[in-house]
Amino acid sequence: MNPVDKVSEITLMNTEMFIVLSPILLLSFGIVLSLLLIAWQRSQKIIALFSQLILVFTLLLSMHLLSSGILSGAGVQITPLLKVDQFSYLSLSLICLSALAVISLSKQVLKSQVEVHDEYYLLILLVILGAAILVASDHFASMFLGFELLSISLVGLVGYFREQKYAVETGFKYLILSACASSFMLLGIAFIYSQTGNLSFAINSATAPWHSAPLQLFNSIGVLLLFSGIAFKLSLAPFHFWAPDVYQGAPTPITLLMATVSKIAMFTVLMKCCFAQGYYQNDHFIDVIIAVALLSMFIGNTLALKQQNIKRLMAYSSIAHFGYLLIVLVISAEQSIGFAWRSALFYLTAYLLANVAIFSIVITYEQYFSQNSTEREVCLNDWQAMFWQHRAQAVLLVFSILSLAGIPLTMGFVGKFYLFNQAVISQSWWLITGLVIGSGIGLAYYLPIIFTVFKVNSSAATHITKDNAIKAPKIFIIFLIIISFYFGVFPDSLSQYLL
Amino acid sequence: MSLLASLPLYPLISFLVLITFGKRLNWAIASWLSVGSMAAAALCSLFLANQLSLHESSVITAHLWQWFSIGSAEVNISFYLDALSAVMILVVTGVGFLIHLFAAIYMKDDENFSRFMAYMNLFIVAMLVLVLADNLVLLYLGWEGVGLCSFLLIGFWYQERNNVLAARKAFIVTRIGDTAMAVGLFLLFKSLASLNIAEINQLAQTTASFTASSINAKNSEAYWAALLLLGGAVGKSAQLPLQTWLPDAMAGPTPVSALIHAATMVTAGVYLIARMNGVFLMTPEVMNYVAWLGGITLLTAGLAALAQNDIKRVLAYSTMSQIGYMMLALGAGAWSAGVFHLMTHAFFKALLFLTAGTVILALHHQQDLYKMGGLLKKLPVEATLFLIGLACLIALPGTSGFFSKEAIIASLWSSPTAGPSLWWCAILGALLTSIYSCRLFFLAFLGKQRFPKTRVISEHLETSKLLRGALFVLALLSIFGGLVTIDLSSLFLTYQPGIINRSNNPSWLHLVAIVTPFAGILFSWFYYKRYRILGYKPLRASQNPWVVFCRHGLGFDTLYATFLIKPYCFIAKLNRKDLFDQTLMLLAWYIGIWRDILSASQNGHLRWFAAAFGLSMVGLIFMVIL
Repeated sequence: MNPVDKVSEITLMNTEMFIVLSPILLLSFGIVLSLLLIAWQRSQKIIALFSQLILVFTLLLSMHLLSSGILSGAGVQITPLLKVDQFSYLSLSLICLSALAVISLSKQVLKSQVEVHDEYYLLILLVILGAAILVASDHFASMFLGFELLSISLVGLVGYFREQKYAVETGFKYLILSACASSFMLLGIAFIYSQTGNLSFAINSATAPWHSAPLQLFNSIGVLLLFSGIAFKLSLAPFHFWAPDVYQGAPTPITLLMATVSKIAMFTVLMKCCFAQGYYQNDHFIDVIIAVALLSMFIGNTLALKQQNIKRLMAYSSIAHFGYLLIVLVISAEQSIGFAWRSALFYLTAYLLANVAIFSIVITYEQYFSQNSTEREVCLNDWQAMFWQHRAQAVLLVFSILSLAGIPLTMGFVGKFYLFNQAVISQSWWLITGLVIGSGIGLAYYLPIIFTVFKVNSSAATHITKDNAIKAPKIFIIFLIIISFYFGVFPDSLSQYLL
Repeated sequence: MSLLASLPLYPLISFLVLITFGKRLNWAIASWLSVGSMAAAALCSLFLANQLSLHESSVITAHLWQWFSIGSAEVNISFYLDALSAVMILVVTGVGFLIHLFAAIYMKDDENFSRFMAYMNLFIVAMLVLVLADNLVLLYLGWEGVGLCSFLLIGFWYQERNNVLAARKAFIVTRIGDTAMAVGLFLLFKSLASLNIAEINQLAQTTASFTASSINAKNSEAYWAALLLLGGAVGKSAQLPLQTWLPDAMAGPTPVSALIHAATMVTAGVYLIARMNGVFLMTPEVMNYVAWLGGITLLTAGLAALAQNDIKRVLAYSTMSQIGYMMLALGAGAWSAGVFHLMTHAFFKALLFLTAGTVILALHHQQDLYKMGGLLKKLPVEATLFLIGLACLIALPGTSGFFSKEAIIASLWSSPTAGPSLWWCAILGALLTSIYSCRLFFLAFLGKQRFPKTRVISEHLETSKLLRGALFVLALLSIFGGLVTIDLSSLFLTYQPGIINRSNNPSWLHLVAIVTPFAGILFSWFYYKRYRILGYKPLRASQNPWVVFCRHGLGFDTLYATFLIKPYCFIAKLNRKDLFDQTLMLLAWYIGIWRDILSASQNGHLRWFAAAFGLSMVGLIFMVIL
């Protein structure tokens, strides 16, 4: 497959393009440097610090580019492969933020190990690079490249602690299913190419095939296969089966990585592709999206009921959340694309903050268990009476759960409100019904978590006293609480920035 | 801050201090605080009333801050003082001060003294907000506030079941009226786009769409708004058909009965109608209803008062009947007379209640008239004071009650919305008033002593000069209060030009009105002979079915219990398991089943996952193709 289709489109990269692409270039350069660093000295502290530095610089650079105004408007095309606009870099900022959280949490987990895990950080950086390529891609080839980079690095990470109970099993599950998804996707891309003769996202939508022939079988199937590959990564029903098992079996920081970085990147590229190709004008595709969204909302929320294992519960919850998020793809006109992007990014920010908070709490409990050499998974019962023992942590947890459930004064509510608004504008009543019912079912498993946190200690609960508890850094907790509260009360301060 | 704005502040501060420190305050501090704040408020009102008569525009306003705004309409916390509200604040703070003074001594030995005084202060705050409000929302705040205080004070001795039941009844019954009133406010806002009282009264005259209606006069917005406001007034002022709570409310301490259930709160309905006169004048039909409601209430309450055994219940029914007179006056368009009667009634009814309170206390909480008798010799001062109060109630010439009641009766015959039949009602009512007053006096103060000789007069009452002082001031006000003629006629709007007076007054009207009370006294002198003559055989309450029927408030309680409460409870019982809840739980059960089915699919087998992946793909492709 030749990534460059038309010779006339080949343009040399000029200075402006280099500047615009600099965050991704910095990231790639940083990976090479960290390889050199490993060759020079193997030290866990140094490599972790170096990875964090790279991510911080990438984050600052993309923020700077966002505020500089270079990206405003239609974005900058950098070779036919990549096209960078403000939404790409907003996603990239979110990705860097969650990657930073993942690395700081990983440091806690790896501290107890004797080995030096340089490759662990390297793999995380590769995942981020894959995600960065995904959010910047404007071409099926670059998209596939990013997708594979992300998947294969993740497979390594999922099975990383190979001596642990489920590590190998989980790694294999993820590897095989991910390969399935990649192959489906590749087949879909081939079908699309066979019909359009073009691999670029930005085809002229006026000449899009569905205008001339509404039911071109190959094209429709191609789009569907492509979508199924992405839906696998987003763990949308009915491609969700792997999610709970892999979430449960993977090391918790990696679960967070999968829940946030991989999903944010995949969703961004899905939106880019859909809006550029004009899939929203295709009724069949919209029907599929609505069906998948409804299924995800229902199945995700229903399966989460009575779930005791927190990581599995988060897997199901994330299925439902990405079901809600599919609403932004169902837009009625080209004018609402901007609003769709803003809604999606706001929702993703809320989702990201809540997930980071919850997983960091899960990790503190896991650390406690492994210290007491009773290695096991964190269950809902372990959180009994948390409020009376770790006030700040419990407040953060309650806040995040409320945000996920979409209770007013949290970001989750505002995000859900934007989605609702979007669905009303596009008049997709099925999705609104699904959103309302799904949120209703959602309360049935979110609220019990809060009840548990406040429940007075019983004999079944784990007694973690102040001395032996490993706490997430207090500043980190307070920062998360303030941020999510602030954006929940003043959503405009964030959504204005998203403009 | 202006003096007007500070008026409700004094009792509010006192309330806050009392409720915060509660039992930690001793009696002296608590009573100095609460009574002192009332004295300050009373002085303040006197000064304001004096200032008002000098004021050119005859209105003082105080704008504090904007509460909220709805569209273009602003709802402010601001006070509005004109002659009508000036009369009200004088009554509320003046009579209120005297009753607080009385209460401080009367309730001295109560365990929760400071809580009691705190509630009384809070009541005064709410009442002042009610009468001073310049918009209907603020008025409603005060309206609900007095309702709350009434509830708290009726149930003040909450350890006894009956008191709590009475408090609950008062709250629920008045709440029915309040709901009607709230709907009325919404309707007014909808049709006139304003909530300011002065503006509404003006707009009601000028807005054509407000009074016009497509079908008939009974369908206009003005008609419904006035009717709904009347609903609120009827609830608060214990008029037919929401009058049943007032006699039961006598379960509260006697100062409460005097302050809330005689002098101030129950007249709030009268104030409301007088305040909204612009709206009521646009609908003569509703004015007519007001008059008839008042007329019927004063007769039924008078009949019920004739048969009561309990001294406080007699006074309660009497209050109801006197408010009936005020309503009658309002309905007849005699706004000024109605408000005048409100004032004089506050004086003499407070006097009657407080005197009754001392009598009850002297007899160790004996309220049954048939167990009193011969108190004239034992308690000569109280007997005289009570007699003064009754003379005013009967409206003997020269007393304040005479002036106000005569003013009402005189306006009825020729009024376009009242008429001769209501005039006869009022005369009959006056006759009943004098008969039940005589019966009350004879039973309590004359005749044979019907209580154990040992149980007389507790000492601290005898010595308390302050207590007597409050009663004397009230007695003076009752006698001479009528000389302060208040003329509010300039304040109220008059009828539309289309409505003319029906007929001229015949010459004999005044004579009949003046003679009627004497006829009543004469009648009872002979009819109730056995009550006043010493040594008559032991008295017992009559068991005549008609008397029992009247004693129980002419069967309204039974009526409501049968036709409203029982069916309601029946329906509530039917739905005990909550049909909606059941339906929802069914849904939850259904979802639970789905959960079980779906979690079976999460079996952890890789082969199944891969197969499901492929099958789902096939399903989606079919969905596109078909």
